[in-house]
Amino acid sequence: MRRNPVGVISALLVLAVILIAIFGNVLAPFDPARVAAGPRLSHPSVRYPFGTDQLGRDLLSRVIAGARAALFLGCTSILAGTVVGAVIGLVAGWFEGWVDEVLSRFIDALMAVPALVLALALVAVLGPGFDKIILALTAFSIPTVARTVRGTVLSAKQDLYVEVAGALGSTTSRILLRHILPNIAAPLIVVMTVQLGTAILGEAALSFLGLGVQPPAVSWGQMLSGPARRMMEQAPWLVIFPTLAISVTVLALNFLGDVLRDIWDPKLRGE
Amino acid sequence: MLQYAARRALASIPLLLLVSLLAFSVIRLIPGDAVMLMLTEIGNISPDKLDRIRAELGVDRPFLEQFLIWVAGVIHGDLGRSIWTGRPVGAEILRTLPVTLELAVLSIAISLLVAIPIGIVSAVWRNSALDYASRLFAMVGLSVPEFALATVALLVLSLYVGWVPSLVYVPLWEVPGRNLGTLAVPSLILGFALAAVTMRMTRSAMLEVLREDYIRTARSKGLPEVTVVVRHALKNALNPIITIIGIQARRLIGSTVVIETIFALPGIGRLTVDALLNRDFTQLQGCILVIALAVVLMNLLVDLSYAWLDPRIDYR
Amino acid sequence: MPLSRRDFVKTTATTGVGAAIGLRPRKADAQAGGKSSVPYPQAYYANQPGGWTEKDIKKGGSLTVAFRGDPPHYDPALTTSYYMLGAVGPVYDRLIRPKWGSYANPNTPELVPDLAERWEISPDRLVYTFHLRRGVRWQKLPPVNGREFVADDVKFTLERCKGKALDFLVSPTKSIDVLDKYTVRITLKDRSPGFFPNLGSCYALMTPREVVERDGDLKKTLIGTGAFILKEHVPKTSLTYERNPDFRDPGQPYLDRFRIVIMPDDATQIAAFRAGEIEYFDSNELEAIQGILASHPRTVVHQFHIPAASFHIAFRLDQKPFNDARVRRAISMAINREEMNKLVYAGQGRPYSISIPWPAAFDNWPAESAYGPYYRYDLNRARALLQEAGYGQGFKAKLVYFAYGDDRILECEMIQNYLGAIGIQVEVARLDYGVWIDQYLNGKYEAMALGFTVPAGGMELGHDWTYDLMRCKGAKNSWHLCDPDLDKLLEAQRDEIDPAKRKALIRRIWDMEAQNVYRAYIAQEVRYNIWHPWVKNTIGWTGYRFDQFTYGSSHVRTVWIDPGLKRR
Repeated sequence: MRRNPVGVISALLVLAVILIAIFGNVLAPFDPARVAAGPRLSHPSVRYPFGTDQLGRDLLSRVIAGARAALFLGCTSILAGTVVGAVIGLVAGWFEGWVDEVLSRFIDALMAVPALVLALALVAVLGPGFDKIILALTAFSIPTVARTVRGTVLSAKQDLYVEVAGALGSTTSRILLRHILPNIAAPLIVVMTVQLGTAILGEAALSFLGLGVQPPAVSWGQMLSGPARRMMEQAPWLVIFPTLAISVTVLALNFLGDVLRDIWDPKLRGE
Repeated sequence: MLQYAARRALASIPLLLLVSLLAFSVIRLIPGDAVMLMLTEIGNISPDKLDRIRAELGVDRPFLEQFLIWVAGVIHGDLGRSIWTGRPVGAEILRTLPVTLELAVLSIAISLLVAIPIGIVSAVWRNSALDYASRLFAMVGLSVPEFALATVALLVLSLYVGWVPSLVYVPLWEVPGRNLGTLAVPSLILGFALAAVTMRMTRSAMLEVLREDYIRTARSKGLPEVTVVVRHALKNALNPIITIIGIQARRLIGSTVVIETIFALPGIGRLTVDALLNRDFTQLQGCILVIALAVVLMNLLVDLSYAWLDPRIDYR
Repeated sequence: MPLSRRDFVKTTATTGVGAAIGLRPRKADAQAGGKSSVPYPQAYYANQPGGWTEKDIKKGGSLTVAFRGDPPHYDPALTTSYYMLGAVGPVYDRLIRPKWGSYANPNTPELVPDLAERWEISPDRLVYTFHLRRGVRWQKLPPVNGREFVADDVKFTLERCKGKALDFLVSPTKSIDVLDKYTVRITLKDRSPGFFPNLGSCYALMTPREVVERDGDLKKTLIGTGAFILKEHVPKTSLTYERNPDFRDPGQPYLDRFRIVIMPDDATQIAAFRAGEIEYFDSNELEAIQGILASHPRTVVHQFHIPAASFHIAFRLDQKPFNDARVRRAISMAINREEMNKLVYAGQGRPYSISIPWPAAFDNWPAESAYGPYYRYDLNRARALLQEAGYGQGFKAKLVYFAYGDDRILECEMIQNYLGAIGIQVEVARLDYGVWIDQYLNGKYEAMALGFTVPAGGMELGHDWTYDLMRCKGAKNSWHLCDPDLDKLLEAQRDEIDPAKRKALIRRIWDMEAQNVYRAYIAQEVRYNIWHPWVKNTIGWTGYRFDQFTYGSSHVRTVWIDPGLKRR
């Protein structure tokens, strides 16, 4: 551990965000949605460490609540995206042939459209709402995960022991479970870690374009998307704290991803 | 080689068709339509008149028929007319594409200028304080939302420097100096965001190459370290770096949507989002096709550059 | 014969036509010259401009203003997009127009001649005869090539509106007859008080026949009789206009060049204003404006409370639980409007919003008492009302909105908080524009919406803002509002010629609305228009769409630049 200070620091930061998200209700000094909890646009002070916003809501409480939204949105969308992507990748990599051809072209098609545009279109189709944003954010992870998994499956199949297991008459499911899955797990966790950061940034971009999380739910992106950016001179704390929250979390996730990659597979490349 | 390129180009046609069909279906699922929007605030129009306008625009026909009519048009080089403005979709795209391309090229250039030196430094002095500091610097760009960075940049420039880049776009071929001024800040922000991934790839590719036998051989020959790193190592590490640029093209186009909105740049990213928000389906369809085409071409170029960099790769 | 403001309101606002009969063409829109500052000080948050007379006007120079979006095309009959209106306003003219500039009354339009030099209105208000100004020419561009503007053009333009977005302009007409080259007679089916004033609205633009004959519509070609000629339009970037050298008033326009630049992001507009790249923009954020005043202390800040079109909680009046007036009253009484004004608009708004334009009809803002008993903030009374209606346990309801400015987001969050206090759980959904327009204008929203009133035209402030909106069969009734007693009042005000009696009828409509809380008014927003001090004779948001930039832009004809103020 001493040899990898970056890993330790980033892991601790991610852990801190997770703890804040879980114990947010206890930690937050105020109800994040309550208006007039304090004066309008108060400077950061002892009572309001991050200041208050236009409606007199405590910014610290809102940043804490935002951690929950970020992790919840990020994790659920990543899980959903990973399940879908992994299934596509597994099936494509395992069966090869025309199945692979069809699925790969589908993934290529998804890859050819920017994820943000895809997510915007999905929100437009599905309408606003927490669950719909989760679905829209899977646009960021499905293609990446599917590609990673397919590649790993293809190379794992080349490995001698898989061939031997096949020759010895193991069932498909047994081979997948015993031999392929462990091979996929490491790269998958790395991809998921980095993609979690991408999902948080994706939600922020959706919020900027006005299609993000709806009140009373709070997200970091939403805090930045309203009047905050126009008031930056008069009330810079409105921009600084949510931006810091997003940046530190995404930064920690990226470094953690890097470190995990180094540990598990120094040769692993790509996203 | 040429044959390979041709085959790859041909293979991308069904892909583009698939993208278009997917886009076409998703677009038709979006509730609300452009005809309602055009009448926005004054809705004193009877439903049969609305239907007549829809019939004139052809948006009332069966799904597959609309798609086939559209594909037939595309084959003849006609992307149709925007429902909203009545201007030809193709012309709109031709006008906006250069803006985004210029932005993309500048951003990629900036990202390489930042990422490659940092990546090399990080790899050569692995796990040193310098390694951590430069990686942190590069990663910050990836972690800060572009619109927050852009707003801070504009405020700082306008308030403390007393200068902002001209926020009214002029084409490069008209007033080159002003054009570059306008694009400087947005490309720096986008380039900074791209640099992190490229830097990470440079670093790991360099680490791998530096372990190779021929580097040891080069060193043992007594060549200066700079020559070893740049001539021998970097040249061999270029392949994965170029791959990552291809992969990032898609993300870059996504980011331009936000940046073009903030810096009032008339690019294709903004055109696409506006078309989506205005329910301008013909325009949106055309934009998605062209963006997909751009991404596919970018990846093709990346593949072809392998051959140029590494003649050992066999194309059959 | 200058009328006092009070006379004007008496006649114009309630009948919409009376005052116009007495008007004669005025040379300029400035007439109170010599005073130390322009009138209506309440309309300025900072740096109310100094007074000026016609001899102070400087000619030449250019003006650049910012829009958030691009005009989709140039055909006024095909969309009411205000980006379109803003882009074509400098080029097209209309028969009559409201008075423009810093001396105009911001509460109510004062109609003055433009392409029509005078008109007669029959005593029964069914026949309008317009006498056109002679020698007016279209801009010297093909295919119109400087042809004279004649009565046929009026008939052509108005008849073209039928069945299009501007149908409301001609829907009251029975016939449009050309009496001679310079005389048009319009006969109405009913007394629609909105007909005449709406000919002065930013929609009723006179358009050339030749372009329609050549292209099929006016989407691509912009040729008018106006003071400016469109030189260049770079979509999503800018529109550049140059003065029309053959304009009928030799002195006008004062500017040589007018430019609209498209900047979708508000924070970017602020930076561009500071850098001098744009000279006029709008904002809703007091804090943003204070920032600008700190760095540019001479900046003129115009503030306005739009006396109509304000946002309210719209209910599905045809459905449970909102068909019960007690539920609506409870909701209204749960809202702390004073606090809302303080938090959302930094105290610069007004505690009560309005849908029927009271200031125009009564020349002042309604007193608190005018709202009746259901606008007082009283949580206990609100809870009791809910209990009475059988909703003591509260209920869940959806509130949809579109973010016309970020204030809407804040308003919804406040409403959510307030209604939560009486047990109504509000689920807020921000819709994108396409879905919003479809749901709100067609009355398809599920439960509640952050609604606003959208009149057809809107220049006749009593009729336009009530008749089509509040009748059971009103074409623009988004709320499923249906009350036979109210319908009778609405019909009666339409046919009433006597101004005082009509005013009394409008007051009765107002009281019915306040009593039944058909729509629950919230606090009234404030809007700011910001311009550099050298921009003269411009104006910000006024009573309703009186050609300010972004809603018509036509008044750029009489805007001038004082270069002396440009140098610091």
